[in-house]
Amino acid sequence: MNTLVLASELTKRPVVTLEGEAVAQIKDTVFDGPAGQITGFTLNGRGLLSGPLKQSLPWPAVHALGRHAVMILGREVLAEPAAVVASGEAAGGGVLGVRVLTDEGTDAGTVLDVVVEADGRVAGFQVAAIEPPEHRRRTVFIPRGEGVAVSGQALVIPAEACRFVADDLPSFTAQVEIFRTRQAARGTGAGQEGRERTW
Amino acid sequence: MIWWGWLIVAAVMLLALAAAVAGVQARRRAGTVIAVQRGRRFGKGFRKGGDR
Amino acid sequence: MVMLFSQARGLPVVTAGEAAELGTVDALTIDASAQCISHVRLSGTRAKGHPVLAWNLVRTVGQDAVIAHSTPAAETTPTQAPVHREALGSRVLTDLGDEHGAVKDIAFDPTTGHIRTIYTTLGPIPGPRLIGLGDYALVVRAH
Repeated sequence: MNTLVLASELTKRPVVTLEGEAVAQIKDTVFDGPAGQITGFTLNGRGLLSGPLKQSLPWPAVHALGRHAVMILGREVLAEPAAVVASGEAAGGGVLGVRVLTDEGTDAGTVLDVVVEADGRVAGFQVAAIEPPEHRRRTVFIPRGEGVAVSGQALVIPAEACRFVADDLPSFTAQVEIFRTRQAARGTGAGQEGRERTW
Repeated sequence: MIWWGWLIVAAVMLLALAAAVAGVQARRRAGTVIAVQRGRRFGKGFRKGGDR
Repeated sequence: MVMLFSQARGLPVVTAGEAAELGTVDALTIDASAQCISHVRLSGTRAKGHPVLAWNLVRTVGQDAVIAHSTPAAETTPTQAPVHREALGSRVLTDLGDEHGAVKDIAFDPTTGHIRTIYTTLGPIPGPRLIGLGDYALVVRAH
């Protein structure tokens, strides 16, 4: 399993070609909620006087998502903004600060950040959780999995996901593994006993 | 020309520069994390009714 | 036998045929894709700005001087040469997007101009790993 990083930490990371030229810096991280995968990034120019770029970086064009830079083959892989996110989606899709609800309908807190892996998968969410007894707040990590749905309005999690919360990123890494192994073992049939009932 | 004329010119230029930077920084809103709904969770195609 | 960029800087550049001094070495320009030196940038004694000398006009870089093939073909104007990116002091990035210190010095073959080793503040990197040198960083393959 590769290292986990908070999506908000990707903001301002430089986009660098393999020729060593910095062509942009990351503005928004855009991910596909149902697929749990980064679809791309919107970009700002570099420097004080450069505004948002009329170009975006689709995920398939990312050579590597590193700790200090996002590497691309060359400037030519940048695409038009609509390749990553339509303007309407951008306006209503922000997930930082949205409410977290369990599938039993209880308020579990708010989303602080999205945890992503270097391969672009969304591993889970950093949540400011409300503890039921006396409404104590603490920061926890909740893995993405079956029955987890996210949009610009809310993050809905299965009540059982609450058992897999971690207090920090290192222990979350281990828990995501356990959670995934469990999900895989349960197979596809049992795994769909979630919120997404459409019949 | 009055001796302090250049002071006014410099102040106006400084103001213009500050406005330009502020304008750019305003358009250049802080980044965030955006969720879009594209793929489907369980493989290909759209799920409608009870097609599983 | 290897030479360091830091040793080459400041050496006089002398033509083999006429023993004419063209100037002193100001910097070495790297062709990152070929992992070798493409040009020698001179601090001019005659022309203003930085005249450049294509590497194929250099016979060898010695301990005390750079020996070039004969003038007048030896000198080219800066406009014909690619943009010079200073490697020394540059940030080092791997192709995986992780930083690896900054360039301290570079060892090269004084005859062929091939980059042998890149010495960074976090240790040496073999020259063949070099893949790019731009305004932001020198890029090397991680493995």
